[in-house]
Amino acid sequence: MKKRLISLFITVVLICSCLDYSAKAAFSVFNIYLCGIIDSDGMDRTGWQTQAESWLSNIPNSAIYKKTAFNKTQLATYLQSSNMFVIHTHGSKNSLRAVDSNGNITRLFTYDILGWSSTAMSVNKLAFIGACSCGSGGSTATNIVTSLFSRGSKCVIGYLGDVNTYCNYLMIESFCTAIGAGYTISEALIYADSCVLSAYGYSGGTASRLTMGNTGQRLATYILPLSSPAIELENIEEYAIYEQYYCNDTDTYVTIYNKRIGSYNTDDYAYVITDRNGKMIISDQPHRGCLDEFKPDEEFFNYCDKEFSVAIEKYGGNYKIEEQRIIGTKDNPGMRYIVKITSDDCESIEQIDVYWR
Amino acid sequence: MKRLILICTCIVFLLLVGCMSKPEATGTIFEGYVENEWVIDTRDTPSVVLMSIKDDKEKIKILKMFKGWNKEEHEVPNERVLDLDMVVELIIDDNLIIQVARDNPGDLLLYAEDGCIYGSIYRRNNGSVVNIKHYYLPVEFSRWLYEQVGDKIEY
Repeated sequence: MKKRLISLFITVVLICSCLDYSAKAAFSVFNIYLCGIIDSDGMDRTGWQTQAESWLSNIPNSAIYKKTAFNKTQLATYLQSSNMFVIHTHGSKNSLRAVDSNGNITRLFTYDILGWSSTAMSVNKLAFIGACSCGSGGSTATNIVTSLFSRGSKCVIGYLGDVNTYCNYLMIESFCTAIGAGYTISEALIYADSCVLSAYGYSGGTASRLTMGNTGQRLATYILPLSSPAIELENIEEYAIYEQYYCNDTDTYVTIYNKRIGSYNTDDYAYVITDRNGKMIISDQPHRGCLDEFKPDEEFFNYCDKEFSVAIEKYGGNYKIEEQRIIGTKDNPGMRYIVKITSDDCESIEQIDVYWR
Repeated sequence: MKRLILICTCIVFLLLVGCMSKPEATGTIFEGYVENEWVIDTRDTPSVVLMSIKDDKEKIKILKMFKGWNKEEHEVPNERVLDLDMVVELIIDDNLIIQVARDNPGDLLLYAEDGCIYGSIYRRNNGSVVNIKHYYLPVEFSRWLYEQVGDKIEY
């Protein structure tokens, strides 16, 4: 009788704990903090939150907090209580900038983070630190990325060097979009890389990242395909390779091509992202300028050279043309001259743009 | 008589030395500010004063770095603005505060074609930052600034 009572009691306890666990699992909230600072330089570091929120709301049980003014204490709280954390701010190897509603600046330093308990970030599955140089020195250095990862986060992403604000903005926005669409972290990084290249033709430092932890995680439970198909580049023979690099965290190779007209480079570009076997994942046609339909003739070159001769006179001294590049669009083409000017005791590099009429 | 000539010579010499070592800021962004006490501080709230510059020799050194430099030709275009935190700044007064990135030859995004390095200039109004603009500043200035206080800051 006593044994029966004990086993009944144990069974009841087990059932109750299971029920409690499944209730918690079913109703546990997935906290997402999207943080961006407002700085008096007029650059937008918060606008990406709107699109990010819209896509990340696909993550089950998500509770999204958009923050545009916070101090370092609040920033620390957001990091520690987030399941996913994204920030666009100023940064360096050892610090992240927080700006409150009065414009007061405080900084969260690596020594602050290393002062937290080793499990302080254990609920965090993903932290994207969109600020300059937070991964500087790599995985063996003390920096913002390694510090956060050492406090228990499952995955932390930060940049190895400095990043352009525009490129960083688009990187963050596209990354959040892809995560909300059900991409893995690695797939989302590839997608975001492609968006930045499509818009600007260069990565602006955003492809140089330190990523620590599990990039195979998928935070949304279903996949919505995003429009970024792999397409064959047409007339690729007109393009010369401008830049090639390897993205460590996505195991992909990026090749950026520059369109050439005759012996001149242009501002038109195209890119291809391939896996380690050379299989194309994403590619894109040129966007800037679209000089495909522009056929420069002798009249164009003569006009540009003549205008250049007039423009260079005001500089005085001797000059040497270092590079000539066809710029603009098919409707408004021009020529850029990069010139080294030497006079008496100094040397300078100048850029002179001439547009055709 | 000899003594008088000697005294006059000394006075002329001292006057010449005095004139020569006076900071000449005409035509630079420092025009009208050389008499102030300049301060290097951390751009935090509250900020921490790391160093004050009263010595004219130091000011002359900085003025030389900025000789021929002007705002018009060195503004950073929007597409080249960075998300870089510059922790220290040189305060000339509330109308002229200068920040600059630390010289790092490996980072191409920091530099303009003429070798100047990323930085910004702004002013304050009742303690609030207004009109922050990014410029490429003389790289010698960056080296000088971080030489003064580099060991006193986390960066």
